[in-house]
Amino acid sequence: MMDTTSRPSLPGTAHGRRRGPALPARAFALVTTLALVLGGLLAAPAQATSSADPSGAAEDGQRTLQPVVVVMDYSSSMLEEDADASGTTRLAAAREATSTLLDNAPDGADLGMVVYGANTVGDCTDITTLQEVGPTDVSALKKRIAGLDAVGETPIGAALLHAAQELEGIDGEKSIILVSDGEENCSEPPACEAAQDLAGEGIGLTVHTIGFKVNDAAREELTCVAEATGGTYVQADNATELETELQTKTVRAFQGYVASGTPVTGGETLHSSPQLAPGQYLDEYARGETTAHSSADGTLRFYHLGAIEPGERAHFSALLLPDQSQPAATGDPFAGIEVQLVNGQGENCSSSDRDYAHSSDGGKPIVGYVRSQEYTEPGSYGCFQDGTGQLFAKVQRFGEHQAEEPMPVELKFVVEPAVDESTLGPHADAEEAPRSVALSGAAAAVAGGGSFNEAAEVENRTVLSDSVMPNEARYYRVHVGYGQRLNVRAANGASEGAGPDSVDVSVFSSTRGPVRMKGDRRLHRRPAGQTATLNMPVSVSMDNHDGSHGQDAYLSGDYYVVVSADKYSDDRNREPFPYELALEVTGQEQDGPLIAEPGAGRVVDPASAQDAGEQDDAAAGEATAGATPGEDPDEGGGGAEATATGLTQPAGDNPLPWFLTGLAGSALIGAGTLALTRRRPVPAPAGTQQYAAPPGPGGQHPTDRYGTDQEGQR
Amino acid sequence: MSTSDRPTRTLTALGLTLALTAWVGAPALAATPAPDTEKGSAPATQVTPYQPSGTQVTGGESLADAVEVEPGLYQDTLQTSEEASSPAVSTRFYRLPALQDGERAHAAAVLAADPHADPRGTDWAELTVEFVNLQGEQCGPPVADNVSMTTGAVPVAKTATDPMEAGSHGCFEDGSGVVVAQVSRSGEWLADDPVAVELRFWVEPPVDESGLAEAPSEDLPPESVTVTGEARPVTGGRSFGTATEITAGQVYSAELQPREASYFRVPVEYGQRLSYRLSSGNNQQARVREIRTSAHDPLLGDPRMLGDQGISYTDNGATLTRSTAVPVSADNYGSYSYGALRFAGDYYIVVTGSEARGGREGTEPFRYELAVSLSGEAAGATEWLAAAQDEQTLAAGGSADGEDAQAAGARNGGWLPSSTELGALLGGVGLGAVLTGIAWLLLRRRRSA
Repeated sequence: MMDTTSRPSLPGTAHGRRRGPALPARAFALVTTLALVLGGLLAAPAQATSSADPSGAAEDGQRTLQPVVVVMDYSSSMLEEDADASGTTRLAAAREATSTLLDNAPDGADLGMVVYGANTVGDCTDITTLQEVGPTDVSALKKRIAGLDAVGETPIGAALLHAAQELEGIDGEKSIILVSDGEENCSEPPACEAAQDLAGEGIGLTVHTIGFKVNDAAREELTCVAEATGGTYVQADNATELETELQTKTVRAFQGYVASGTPVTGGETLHSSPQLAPGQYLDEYARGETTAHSSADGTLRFYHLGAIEPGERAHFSALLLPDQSQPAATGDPFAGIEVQLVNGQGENCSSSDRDYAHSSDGGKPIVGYVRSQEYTEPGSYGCFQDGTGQLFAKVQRFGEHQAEEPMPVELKFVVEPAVDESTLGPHADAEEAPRSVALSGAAAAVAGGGSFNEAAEVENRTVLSDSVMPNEARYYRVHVGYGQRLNVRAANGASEGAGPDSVDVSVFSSTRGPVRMKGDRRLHRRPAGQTATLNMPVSVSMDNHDGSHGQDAYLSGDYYVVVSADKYSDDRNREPFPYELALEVTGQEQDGPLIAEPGAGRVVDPASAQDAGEQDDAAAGEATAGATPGEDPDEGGGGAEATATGLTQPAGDNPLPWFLTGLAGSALIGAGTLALTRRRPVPAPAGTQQYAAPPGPGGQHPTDRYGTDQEGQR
Repeated sequence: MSTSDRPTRTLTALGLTLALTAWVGAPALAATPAPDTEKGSAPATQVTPYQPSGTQVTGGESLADAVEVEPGLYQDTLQTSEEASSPAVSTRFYRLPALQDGERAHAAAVLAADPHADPRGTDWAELTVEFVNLQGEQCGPPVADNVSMTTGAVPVAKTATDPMEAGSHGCFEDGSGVVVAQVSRSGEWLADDPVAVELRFWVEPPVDESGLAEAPSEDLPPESVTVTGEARPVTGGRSFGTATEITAGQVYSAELQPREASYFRVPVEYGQRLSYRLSSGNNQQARVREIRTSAHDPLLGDPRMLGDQGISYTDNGATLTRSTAVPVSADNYGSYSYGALRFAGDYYIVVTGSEARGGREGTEPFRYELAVSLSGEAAGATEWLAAAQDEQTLAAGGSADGEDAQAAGARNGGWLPSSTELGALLGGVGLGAVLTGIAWLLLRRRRSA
């Protein structure tokens, strides 16, 4: 069941209802049906998470955490009592930070731990593996950590090599997180030299360093270590910072988009397309373009959306999902998706919408979104001239990025019910003035979702802090009702060392249409202290559905705020980009318009629609994809199959005569050859007798067989 | 197992394997596109222009010199002017047998132009047909068709007289019922060169209007063509007379080169509504800029059709659908809008390729799919027309039942076997080889015994 507290509201189902005329049973059924159809509007947030865990620790499989070894300094200097104002030792702070890290580590994370200086005074070989890389027994490890002293030297270089050995044999990207409060004092080998050696091995190892209350020399050395391997250096000046930085660097897992929806395979032609009910679907598009901008040979798919009624509108979006685990490609190619609605004759029922993202915008959602033309009455010119209301979606992938790799495409189909036009007012004739978001106070740590489907629900007037990694996007959703306006303030945090070069803030409607916002939408890595404010140009209002302002945000419901990362610099820095978001919805939520009976302009009780709309969205999403579409006047009885595959065999393709022809021909030739061979005078060996050979199989009535069988097949 | 059996069994196994492999593997083999057809390399041969047919005739140069012709299919040659800069009209006259009361004459003319004949290809060619009586009075509106010779389309003009009514004012006032078809060519395109003109004449028998219902007053909504299935390759005819017959319910695949035209015909009976669909896949590499389509009734008139007419090479996955505005019905007889839809017979679908894209862009033919549907209950053809069409088709080198070589080839996907059939053939050959081998072994054993 979906979370009904946060669902998008439908026309006429918003807070505060208007009473329509008495509700006859037929109208009730109609409203119920409409509400079910509208389930598509409510689909996305069904599994939204609202975690306060800033790590974004994984609860599912899509979050990927690199294998990591934490190297912790237990040298004697860790006994200094300056970790905080109360005189906590650095050692205690380190224990506490490690304990928190272990508590927040995702289940099954490949985490290892190495310490140096914990056992022997003056021993540069005092390096101990507390935990090998792999699943962790947290309580056992904590006990071992609690028993450690801080007595020894600071053999950073040797400890790095030791930790690298722990990661030996593990393919792919991996990292070491080094925490030290001082500089190398063993030099066996020197710390930076060891790091350079590791970098030279090309084993995909990155070393990130945290300087805990370090002096300039140690800072310089730890920076050298980090930069040698493409990692980052940060400084922690107290116990809290140490805990935060350690956790961020270690268990801030990359969160890729996990597509969801009823599996469907689009048709290769208009009329071989599967019929979809409103809901969310998942297809896979095999390839992009051979040559961007010109070959246009990316996968093309069609979907039959069935018939809409006069007054209704179809919303259809397609979200293309490149492989986010790949870094920006050479030349920064792009991948895109184009969507259009057509009718059964191929006439346009919407303009086409294209969206794309370069490989450097790896996290940006690539959404093609269209809305059907106005369907005022049957027989109107253009799309609905045929009077059937039949719609088809045409979707094509384009661009060269990951062109040879299949990409999931998440499809969302929503039917917006007809409304009583007489209840609508004039549409907005101008944009509203920009508005500041003046919310203040401590930001709450919120982990955004990794997809539209898992967008974190955020209450109005929330200030949150989060971060986004290269190739990643964070999704939040917030309810915006009729009469209300969404305002977003974004500010970068300590982002100078972040992997992404910038982040982009975008807003999408509940139907996944991109919403044009006033104001800047980009924050760069530096300088710190940047703020960008975005406002809806006008308040959400059904009045604007055909106006020139607010056409992309006229429906009440959950709106999505998406923060995505851009990374065009050529390094392996995967440090998250920290930011703050303040979300403010201004204005008083108002009643929505009344739902009208499709095509009749008849008003029905919106209360019923709301009740019906609270059905599990899955019902609407349980596609008729794969099911035979119902008879409709447009299908002529010979309608499209529900699935796109299985094109019929051409008539008259009968292999049997060909087989028999081949058989007979072959046998005939064989018989002829045998006959010729037999007629050839072969001298009989002495003592043998010649016999007249009987006709061979190939020589028996070849003509009869040929002719009879051929005739028979005819 | 005896050693003597071994060769036999081995041979048998080998043969069966060969047969099975052939059966299974040949489809894949056959599915490998032929270099010139499937992969669509640049055209190796020149595009065949319109192929006129019919009895050769030379029309009179004046009304008084009009040559007498019977209803049927003819071809003549028309020249426009000596000087292209001031083109004159070239006109020929053809006198039909006297019409009887209630009869009406129809004439259609097609300029058998070769769009490739003039590489400049931007001039217009025009053809006009009209009926006059022996006094020169008009017997029907002159109908002209002018075409910019940049595509595969050629001018097609068609007109008809009113029903013969002896003594009525105007055309038939002289009571003779004699009408003369006057065919004129004009336009600057190849003005100095003679160009063949294909002529068709019909006499429509009297129509008893009392038995007719009222004609429709408005268009029906457009119809979708929902036919699906594997597309069968087809080659369109090169003229109306050699138009390839296609059937409803089948998807066909075809292709066009620049300035090429393909002609198809579909038998449509009374009560039926013709709809056809053209679909394009990816034609980004097509040499043709755009394909366009038109439809003609059995008398080459222009029936009222709904829907778009063109698909550009940039329109990936585009579909256009055209439908007759109303079903074919004798009731449409007196209708201004739907009069052409009163003839039940072979309707023609013409698909033409535009000029080539500029800058040597594109190397491949424009590939498209064509599918036809007929909705409504079939209620027979227009009898007099069926006979006339058959005659004209025969005269054009086709066959009345649609089984002309080209059409048959198209229907069967050409003489080449399909992939399945090829597999079967090879399977048969393999099995035959096995049997022959067994026979040979048996003979050898018997001989050696």
